[in-house]
Amino acid sequence: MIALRRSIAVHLAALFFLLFAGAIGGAFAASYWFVRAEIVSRMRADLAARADAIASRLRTQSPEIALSSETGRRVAAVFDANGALVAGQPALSPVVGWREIAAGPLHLDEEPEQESESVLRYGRRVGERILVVGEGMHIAEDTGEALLAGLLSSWAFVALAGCAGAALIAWRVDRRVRRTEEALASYAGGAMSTRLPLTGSGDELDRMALAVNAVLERVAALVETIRQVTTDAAHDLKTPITRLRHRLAEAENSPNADVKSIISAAAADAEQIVATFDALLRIAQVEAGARRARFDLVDLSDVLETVTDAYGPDLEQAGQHIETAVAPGLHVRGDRDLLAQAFANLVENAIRHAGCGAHVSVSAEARGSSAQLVVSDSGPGIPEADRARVLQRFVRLEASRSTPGTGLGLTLVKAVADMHGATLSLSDNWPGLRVTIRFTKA
Amino acid sequence: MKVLLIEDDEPTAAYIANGLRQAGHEVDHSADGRDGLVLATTCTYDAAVVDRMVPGLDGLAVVRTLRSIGAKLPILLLTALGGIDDRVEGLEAGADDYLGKPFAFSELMARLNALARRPPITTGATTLQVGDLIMDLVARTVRRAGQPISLQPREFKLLEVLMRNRGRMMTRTMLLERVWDFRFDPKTSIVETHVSRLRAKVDRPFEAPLIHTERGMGYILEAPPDMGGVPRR
Repeated sequence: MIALRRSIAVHLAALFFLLFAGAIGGAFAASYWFVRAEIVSRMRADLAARADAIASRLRTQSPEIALSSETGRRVAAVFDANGALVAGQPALSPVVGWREIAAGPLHLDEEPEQESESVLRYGRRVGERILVVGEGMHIAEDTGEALLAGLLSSWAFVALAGCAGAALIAWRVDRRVRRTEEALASYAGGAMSTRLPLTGSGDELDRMALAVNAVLERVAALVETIRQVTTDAAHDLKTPITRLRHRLAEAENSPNADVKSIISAAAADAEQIVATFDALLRIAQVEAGARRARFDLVDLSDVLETVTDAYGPDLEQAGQHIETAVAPGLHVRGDRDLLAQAFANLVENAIRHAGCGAHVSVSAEARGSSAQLVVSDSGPGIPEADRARVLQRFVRLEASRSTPGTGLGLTLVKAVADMHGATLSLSDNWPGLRVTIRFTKA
Repeated sequence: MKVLLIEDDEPTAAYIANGLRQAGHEVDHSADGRDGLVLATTCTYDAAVVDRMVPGLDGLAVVRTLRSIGAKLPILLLTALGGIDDRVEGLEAGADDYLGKPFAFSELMARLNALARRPPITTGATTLQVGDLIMDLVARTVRRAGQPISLQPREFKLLEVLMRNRGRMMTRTMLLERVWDFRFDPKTSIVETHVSRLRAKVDRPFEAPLIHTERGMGYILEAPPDMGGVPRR
């Protein structure tokens, strides 16, 4: 059951009921005022005409006869110059001009038991005498009562509709909030693929659910990253750590051991552990998108030139030839340090795996709205079946793992490409490996 | 020089302090950020080495506080965090340089030297001279013993960095940062091959070598004593 006192819908309904009730009350009051004004102005015109008619008759007829037509709710009286009643209704007073007499005991002569009502009266002079005519204002009063009845029933309708609306809204909101609660509880319980349900209506709750889902997505990605790093660290760091331990144990226990060379080997092991660990952390952070906030305009062409220039001598030493065809002025939004490292990894890969005499080619050009970068070599390449696999952590194609490297180079390239919203593809260079990265130009 | 060391890990602190003392420097050590800050504000130091994660007050806050009260001493920030943003955060806080753990002492010493004795005049100078080697920064030409030497742009930059830091060891990572703007560790010998190319042009045709290798640590450019250089130990 919904806790009514805490339900936003009920609060809203109550607020809207008050607002509507007030607005309707105002509308009725205004109507009453206008209608009454109209009635009174018609009565005045009517009274003035009657007074004129009686006045003309008074000139030829006696007051009693002149007033005889005024019956029912109409009252009239004639006073002499001293204000003494000559004929007609005695309750009227000899005053000239318009006046409303509020609910006075003004009984009309023929029906003295009739209810009191207010009377609009008009007095004028006819020669020396004063003529006063009046009429009961029951029409104006009845109109007021009718409007009041209308107001009360409107309020009743508004209250009814408000309650029903509030109940409906409260029920619907409650149902959606309950679903959200359930989804979040299940997320908190570890089902990190859970997302908030969307109705597709695009309303406020949907928009909020979308925003919350984006957060859930990000949290899930971060958790996944942490899990991945932990697993990877356990996977690939245990081996060198074990080796390091064995070396130290050997140095400690065997008296004839060449301690100095063992120590330098141990130091190299430690170095390797740190390198792997750094690479893992870096990949994890890149994958988590930690650095996107620092993105800046980067001259891709310049980064490529710097990297190929830096590795030029190394390529020559490896007996390889490099060709570069980098179009100038290619700009992307990104992180220069990481882009440089990613390109360096690609070039290092070529140096390491393409072999002596290989041709390495680095090119970059604008293609429509994208900047396409290709690093290719004429080495042995990667079999098609393994191309997706080499982008994963620690995947190295030689089973022996004899060549140096952490098996994280291409993983980082992939992570950096993803972070920049770029697509990375590996293909055959006939022969060799061709790595293509397509960025969106800035 | 007098160095303030703020580092809570005892073995690391001892390693750094011993190294600095052996190199003839004076070291004050604090294992706590707050105490370190008090030391930094009450005594005068030529440089500070601050670990990023220390109890009391964390390293970044120490650096920020020191900068906010106008302390100008060079600060080298150490960190065990491998984060890719840590360097930027450290520099933004006001540190002058940044070194990730674990590190070789030679690296720390080289960076500290580069910071502490930063020559103030080099920015305005248009020529650099070490012994008979003269670099014209405006015309971008290099001469040694009057003979012009033709250098590639990157070789020029490498030589410029070495000349600006004459007599000081420049480690491999420092050269990677300053010459190529690389903030990662290449798996190949970029620095070595470029230095050997530079040597082939700058040193080999001449009698006395100017570029010296400190094995496993880095490179020093220095004129021989008879050409005005400081004798090397």
